[in-house]
Amino acid sequence: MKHHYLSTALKMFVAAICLTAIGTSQAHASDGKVYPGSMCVRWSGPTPTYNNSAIGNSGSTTLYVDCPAVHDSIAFGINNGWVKGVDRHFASPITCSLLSLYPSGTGFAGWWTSPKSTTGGSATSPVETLTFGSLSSHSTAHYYYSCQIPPTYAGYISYLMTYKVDENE
Amino acid sequence: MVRKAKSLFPVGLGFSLVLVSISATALWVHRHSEPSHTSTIRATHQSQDPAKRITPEDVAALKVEIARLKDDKSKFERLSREMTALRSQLTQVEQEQKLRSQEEGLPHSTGETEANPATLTPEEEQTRAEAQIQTQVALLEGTLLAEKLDSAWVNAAQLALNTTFHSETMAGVQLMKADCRTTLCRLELFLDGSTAPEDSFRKLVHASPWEGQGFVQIDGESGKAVVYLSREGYSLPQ
Repeated sequence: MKHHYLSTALKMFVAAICLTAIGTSQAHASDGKVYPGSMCVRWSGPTPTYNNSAIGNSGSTTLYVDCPAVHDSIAFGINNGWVKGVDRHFASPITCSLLSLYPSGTGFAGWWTSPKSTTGGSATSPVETLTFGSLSSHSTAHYYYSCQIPPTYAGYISYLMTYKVDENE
Repeated sequence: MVRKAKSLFPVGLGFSLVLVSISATALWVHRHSEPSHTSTIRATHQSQDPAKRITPEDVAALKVEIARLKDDKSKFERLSREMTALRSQLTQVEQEQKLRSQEEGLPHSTGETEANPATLTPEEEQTRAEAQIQTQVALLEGTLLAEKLDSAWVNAAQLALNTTFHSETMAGVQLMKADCRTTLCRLELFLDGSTAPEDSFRKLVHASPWEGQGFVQIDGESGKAVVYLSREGYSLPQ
């Protein structure tokens, strides 16, 4: 009889541990999505070039793009994110900021992270990753990266290849 | 169980904050309710001999008294700032708890049943969003007020801000006031209307004087904007 009680207690203890572990993992889950560079939209500069769903700048001036990310109907705010690009310009980097914007009344509220830049800048530069930390926001604000892609340098084109936003869940 | 514990945590934190603020106030009141020994003695002495001339000792004592009062004033101001910060943090905790209840589709602690965010009307969503903005501003304001002055950084930050906002790239955006403390700056800007608010936002992001997070609230009608900038290496409070 005593053995039975001990066994039941042990089972309940193990079940509680499992439930706690599951609950904790769900509470700290995040919702990451990866997007192709071709989703970025030019807002200033030359007409973009697309290659394997990456967006590039084959012009002679800097290309400015906004790269949107989905904001699901879940807890607001961004956990982290990254942008991958190939910087083929010897002097000007690819620079991006992560932003969130909410139109309000006659104005708006906005959040941003400090800009991050690539450090490469050669004909054989590897893919570089710009990483971003958390960003505050709120329930109906939209998320996007705002990036600058340098012009061609000696015929080499710089590309923004892909990006990710990991929402809080 | 974990969710319940998580929802109870803010309540516990809220109570702790209230207790801390009450204790701080009680200590301050207790300390300041004690009569000033020096001033009592001087008052008695002067009433006995009103015609007596003021001596250098009296002046020195008066100076000490003034210094003490100044010290008390600064302590009071610090306590006020801490109280404001605690109040805003408490508001934030309450707001988060309410939002979490909404997002989980759970009844709020008041007993009322609130709608899931997916079923909110546009008006309700708008109200909710505005409340979140106000909570964010209250949190930022409270944090700033609770911070002490880091004189070295404040001077460097002010210089960097002045340089940035007097540069050509920030044409149309005037820096009216800057208040920096330890990890945070609050800027009051005026947009003269020569550029659209959206373009001013882009300028702010790309011309930040240092690498840090930012939050801005722009009123396109009045041209007023308030910006909070975190110090390099620090994040905005969340």
